[in-house]
Amino acid sequence: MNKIVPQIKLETYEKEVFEIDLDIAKKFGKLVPVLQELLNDDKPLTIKTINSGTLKKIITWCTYHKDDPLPPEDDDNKMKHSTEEVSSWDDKFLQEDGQAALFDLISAAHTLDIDGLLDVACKVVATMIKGKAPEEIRKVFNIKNDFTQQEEDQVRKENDWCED
Amino acid sequence: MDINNIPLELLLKILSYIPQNELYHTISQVCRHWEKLSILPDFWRTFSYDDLSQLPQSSVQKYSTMENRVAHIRNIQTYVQELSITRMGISDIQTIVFPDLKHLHILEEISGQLFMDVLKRCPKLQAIDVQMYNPMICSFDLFCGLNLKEIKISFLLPTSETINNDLIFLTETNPNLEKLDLNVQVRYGNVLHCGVHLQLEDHTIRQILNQSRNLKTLALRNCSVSSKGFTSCGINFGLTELTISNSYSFDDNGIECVTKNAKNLLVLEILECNKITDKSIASIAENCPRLQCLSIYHPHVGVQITNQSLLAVANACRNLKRLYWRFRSKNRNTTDSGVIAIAKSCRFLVKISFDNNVHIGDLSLSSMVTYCLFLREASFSGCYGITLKGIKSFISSCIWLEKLDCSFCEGIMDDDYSPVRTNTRKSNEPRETTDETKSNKDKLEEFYNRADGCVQDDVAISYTDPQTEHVFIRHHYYDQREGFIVHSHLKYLSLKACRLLSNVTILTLFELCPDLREVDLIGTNADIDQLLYDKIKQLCPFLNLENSQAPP
Repeated sequence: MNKIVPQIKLETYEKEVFEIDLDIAKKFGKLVPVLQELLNDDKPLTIKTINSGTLKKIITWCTYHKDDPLPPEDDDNKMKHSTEEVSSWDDKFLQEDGQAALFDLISAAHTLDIDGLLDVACKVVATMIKGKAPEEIRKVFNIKNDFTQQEEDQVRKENDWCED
Repeated sequence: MDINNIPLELLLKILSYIPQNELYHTISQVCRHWEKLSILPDFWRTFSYDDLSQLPQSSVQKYSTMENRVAHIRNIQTYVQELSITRMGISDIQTIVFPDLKHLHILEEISGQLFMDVLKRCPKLQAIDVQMYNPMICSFDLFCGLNLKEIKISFLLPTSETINNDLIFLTETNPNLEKLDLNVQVRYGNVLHCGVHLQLEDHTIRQILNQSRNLKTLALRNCSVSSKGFTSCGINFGLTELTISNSYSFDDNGIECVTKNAKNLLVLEILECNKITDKSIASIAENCPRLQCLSIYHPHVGVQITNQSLLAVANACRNLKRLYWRFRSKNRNTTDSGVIAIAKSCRFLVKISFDNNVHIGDLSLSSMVTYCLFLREASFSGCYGITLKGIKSFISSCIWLEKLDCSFCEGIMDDDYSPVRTNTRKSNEPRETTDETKSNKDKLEEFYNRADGCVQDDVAISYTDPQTEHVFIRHHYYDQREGFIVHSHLKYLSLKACRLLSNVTILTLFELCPDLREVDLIGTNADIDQLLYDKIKQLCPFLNLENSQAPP
């Protein structure tokens, strides 16, 4: 018989219930105490803002990074951005389902307070923005250009002036 | 979900990874939303989350951490830099030497002998914080000659007659003092009584200021000081933080002198000083443009602080991060236009409090939402102009908000509010005569008229600037899938004594804040039964109703 691992039940937007091992749920930052209280409870914790696909991905990520050392709880560290590169596994994992899923994931990581995931995901998005022209960025993220022609000229003029 | 639907703070986080030159040249040209944001990450970079939400350390926290510390202390004694101890704790650590200890907090009354024992073993001590200092059992001389940088003493009893001379001697023998914090409390049993005065004479203040040239922080809580002590000093002093509370003889002249001589003031707290008027605030605004925290708490009826003050502060102090504009009794002088001016010029406000400003209403809320993107804590206790509509749009638009106090806001009521209920309320609890002159219906209409400038359709909030007639709109987007809203991160909500709120309305409020951890429902019409309980659990999975202050 398998060893019994304490599990936490989470219910997603689609009312699907997931069972998560406690050692994986330890990644959930500030929520850990809330979750631990629920250990003995049969009722799942409903999180309406997360859908099943996203939660599945989060569990995969947390399982993969289960043994990562915790970042040192240093105030200086929190202030600075870690300059570490995103690993190729993370990069592939985060981008494989397209943009909408990535933003769902960012939002969910924020809700569940998974700092590590939030950091890499934001970095991945940032690399998608870096070094592109405004028009390209709008195209990549499907953003509507809500400047009038006049305003756009104005902004461009200002910026040209800055560059001189 | 796409990039403009994620919470603002996450978009800012993403943008904070973008190099600075790109922010200015590229990001600002993408769309209007990003244009506004492109100026923010600079701010974001320099202030971490924790930096912003820093609270004054409460002694309670120190208590709870203390036990752990003592348990581990034997292993790490050489590294300990800060230590909090109780009377019991002192006997625990009696033989331990702390070679590196810099900050010492003493949380309970201790005798001079024990105190000396501890001091002997801390050669590098820089700061002491003595709570419940009892001059009967611990001589004041012990604090002298230690060459400390920070001294915080909370007197337990009305102090000895020689206290003025003692304090002069204290500053004389600690010439490098940077922080001096004095407080007086009297305790009967377990109840602490504040407001007992330690009479500080003018020459004492003068001597303290003259002798401590490095003094940066001065707090005189419950100490009676008069303005003369400050005015006769006459030399520039480098104070950055000043707190004066419960001093009935401290008036406009004192404030004027302090602000003129200490132009680098960052934190100024004037609490329960009843002689403070508009003139004081005007001199604060004129002399201290760098102010980051301004706290006014006025104790009496007939306040002489008007909207002019608020406008003056708005004009001058653009770096304000915390603004507390509180009154003990109902203040009718502050209006929405003052708050709007504050919101427009102090965009980096993190904490605000406008308790008991009865004329503040929804317009204030919507201007705060429009301009102050970094708001984390807000308190509008006793602001009658605030309605349910205003609160809802405030919660759903102010997404960084973590703490909201709307206690005693009687304008927050059910949508189907009926006069019948009001009548019963009126007979139970007579209200002030001035309020009774208007019928409740008029009042209701007044509330709605006041909220006219703020139109809210659940997810977008617009606000019209009365002077420029410019319309500002803040959008919050619906996802295509039903039920997905960019939600608020509100963690604490107080609806205490909002007497006209019942179950259904409270549920609609809960719906807006799925991240809620704690709620105060005392004195509302809420009747929490099993059904409602289940529903609340569904809406706010993290809310712990057992610990929350809900009616039984």
